[in-house]
Amino acid sequence: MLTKLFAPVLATCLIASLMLVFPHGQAAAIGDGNVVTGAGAGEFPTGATFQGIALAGGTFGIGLQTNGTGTANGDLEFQLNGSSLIGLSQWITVTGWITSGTVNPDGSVTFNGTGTLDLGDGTAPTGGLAFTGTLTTTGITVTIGGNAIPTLPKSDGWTTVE
Amino acid sequence: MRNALTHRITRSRRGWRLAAVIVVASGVALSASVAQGRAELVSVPAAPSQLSQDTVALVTGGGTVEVTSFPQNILASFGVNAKRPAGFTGGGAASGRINFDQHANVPGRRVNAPVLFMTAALSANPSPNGTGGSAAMSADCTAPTAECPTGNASVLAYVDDNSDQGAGNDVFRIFYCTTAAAVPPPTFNGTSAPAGCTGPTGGTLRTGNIQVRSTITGTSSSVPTAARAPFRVP
Repeated sequence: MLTKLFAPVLATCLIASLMLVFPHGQAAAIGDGNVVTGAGAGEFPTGATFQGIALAGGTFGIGLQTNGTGTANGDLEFQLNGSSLIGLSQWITVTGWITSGTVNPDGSVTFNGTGTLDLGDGTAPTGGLAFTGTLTTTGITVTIGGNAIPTLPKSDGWTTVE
Repeated sequence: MRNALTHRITRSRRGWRLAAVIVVASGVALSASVAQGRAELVSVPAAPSQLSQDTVALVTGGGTVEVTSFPQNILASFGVNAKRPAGFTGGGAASGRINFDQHANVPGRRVNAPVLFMTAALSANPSPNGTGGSAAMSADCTAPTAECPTGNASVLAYVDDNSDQGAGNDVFRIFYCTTAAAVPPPTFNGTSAPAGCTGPTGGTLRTGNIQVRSTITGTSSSVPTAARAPFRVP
């Protein structure tokens, strides 16, 4: 009887010991998935607008890590430089926490999360907006709070998917 | 018929078995943090301890910083990633990438280099989203397709994740080094350049965010509204 019980009890104790020894989450920080990094700038095509603002150019910075199952962590900052209806310079800023992301077969990256839209007109930024975006080697497209921002073609900087 | 002594031994062992089962069950039922008596506070992250080459950490970030320049400052965008490789047991190895793009026509304005080494410290009091800490990442400028200012063999990026609201709180600094990529010195804290490096460039985030965490969770339960961006850099 004792011999029969010894093996399963020992195995359970071993598993429990490992759980206690290794901090939770440690293993999950190591492993596969994609790393998506980018920083750059570009010019919008003539006629591009967002929320009534004529867009001239934009800059972006992104750091995103996926785990291969759709879950991801990352940060997006996307800034649009434009002119208001009365010709004043206006910088619109999108800041987002990326919570899911997928690298597509064509090498582009689709990501989603929750972000903030700062219209740069003196009004308070609006937070808690769902956003989705696509990053390619040639540009970045973002929709926040259901408002689509025209694709910013990248003319400077880097985007890398590893 | 059982011997009386054997019977007593068996009965006493039964008690020990029961105790073992209780201990094991507790270990299984409780998370590791609870079982070890650790508390997960949700207050503002405190200043992390010294960076360690053995800390398992994951860094993501994207945003802008202002670069001091004459006659006027320059706006620069950055994107940063770092994580430990599979099978990591310590020693500072890491993978990822540092992108840095100064939006002005100045020499050596771009950085695109793979991260090879990292030191990190996780905040003792992480934010509600489980992030907070600091990290230093060394990237190789001699790697194929890498781009760095001429004459530099590596860059060293330092980040602070001080708040879920990155703008005005988190920090991104970059140092340019003539020395090869290496594990950042244990005394390095991002304020002054280590031997063989110049800098820093950058500072507190103008916009964007940096996250230092121990795992990919995919949850951002309480994403704050980002701080209002400062008016444009001249």
